[in-house]
Amino acid sequence: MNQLMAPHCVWDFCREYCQKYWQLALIILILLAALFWPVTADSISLLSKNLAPSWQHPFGTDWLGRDMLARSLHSLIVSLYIGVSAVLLSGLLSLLLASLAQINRLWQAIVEFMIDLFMSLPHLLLLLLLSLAFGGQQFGLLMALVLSHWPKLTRLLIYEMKTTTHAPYYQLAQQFGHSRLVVMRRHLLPYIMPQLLMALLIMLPHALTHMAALTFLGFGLNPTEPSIGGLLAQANQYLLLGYWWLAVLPGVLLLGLLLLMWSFARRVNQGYRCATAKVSG
Amino acid sequence: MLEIKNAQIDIAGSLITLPNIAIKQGQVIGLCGDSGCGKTTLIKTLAGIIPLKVGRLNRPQYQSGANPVQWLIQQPEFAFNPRLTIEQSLNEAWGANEYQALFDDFDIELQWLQRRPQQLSGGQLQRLNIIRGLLPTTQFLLCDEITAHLDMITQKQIWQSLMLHAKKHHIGLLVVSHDQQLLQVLCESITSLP
Repeated sequence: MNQLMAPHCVWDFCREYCQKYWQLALIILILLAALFWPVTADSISLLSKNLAPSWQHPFGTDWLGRDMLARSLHSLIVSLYIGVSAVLLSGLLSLLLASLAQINRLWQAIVEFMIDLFMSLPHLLLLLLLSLAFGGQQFGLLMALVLSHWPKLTRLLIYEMKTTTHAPYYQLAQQFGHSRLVVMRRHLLPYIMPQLLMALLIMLPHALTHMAALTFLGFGLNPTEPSIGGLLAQANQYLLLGYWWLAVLPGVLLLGLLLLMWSFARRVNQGYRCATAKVSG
Repeated sequence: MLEIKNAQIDIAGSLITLPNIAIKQGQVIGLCGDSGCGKTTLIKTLAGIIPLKVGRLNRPQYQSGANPVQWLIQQPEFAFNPRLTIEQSLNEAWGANEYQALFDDFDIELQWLQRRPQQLSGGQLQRLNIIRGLLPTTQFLLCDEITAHLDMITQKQIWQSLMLHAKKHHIGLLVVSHDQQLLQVLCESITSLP
């Protein structure tokens, strides 16, 4: 045990995992940078407005002289904060609804009807309606993201659960006198956990994109609160003046982060598949 | 007493009539019939998994704990959760490891407990499956072709131990099989399905 805790072992462990999951390491680096970035996001300096990217201001400055890198990083943190909570709540909602659908056929029909209902509307329209219905603001944004991302995951989970609940060992487990919830926790949850976690990892970049779209259209956050979508919307007016860095660089930063998350999700999926192949082989 | 009378069940919208069967505790009843004639459906109904539409099912009442009517399936490899060790699966039914008292009777080795179902053979698994069903509260055991895919010697060992145990603990057995000879050796009376 002591040997395990020795510094060089910790270092080796970190290095091995960084090589395996370099995407995660990069994401964490970006987040740490964003959290501890020395320049404040909304310090106005009219002497240095509309500057093109330079070493002092890598992303340039905007029409009020605010450092765009600091603003982009700050808005990433805000987006992630809302995005991660939305994805977690959405996952929980899917799990609950998929479990409800296992009770009997009536419940399954009800849940499937709700899935169809939510999936029949275009996603962006649904987001706008939900965001308005919950009073706009940050809460409306969060609820719109939570309530629009569950249907696909729920449908996946319902059928994943069905394959287990129809298995003989699951039916036999009912006759040993444990309650339905206990049987579910013991035989069903461990089986769908990998699918659920993978789906959440994939859902996160998806939800972030939608959030950027919503804030771009002016829903959710105040114009003063930096958000990636808001930054892009404001930059719109300045594009014709030639201030390309206002839109391009925050966009590239968001895209880069999303690609990293997506590729991390794929890496985890691959690792999980290898692990299960080893067990069953 | 485990009894099913004038029963009909609803499968995909059509009513299916089930034969009348009555088993007393300590009795061994045989059930034979062609493939697909509804032997497993009958057993699932007796175990309480398929609800009756018409008719009557008399079964021992129980408030909590394990079902006194236990069902053993034909393929033991599907009877255990592949993610759990055999010990975890057995403990789920028994609560504690008192089942080890049965190990000698059924030729089970202690080291099998730590394995997963994939790491054991069909005969080994079927013995563990039977042990799992032989709870102290079990009054009836529904054996759905439990030795159909085993070799003669293993079949004989398993049936000998099971019959001894059933006699000792006054358990009623319903033996389902294709094998007429086996049923004639084991059972007091044989019902055949049309």
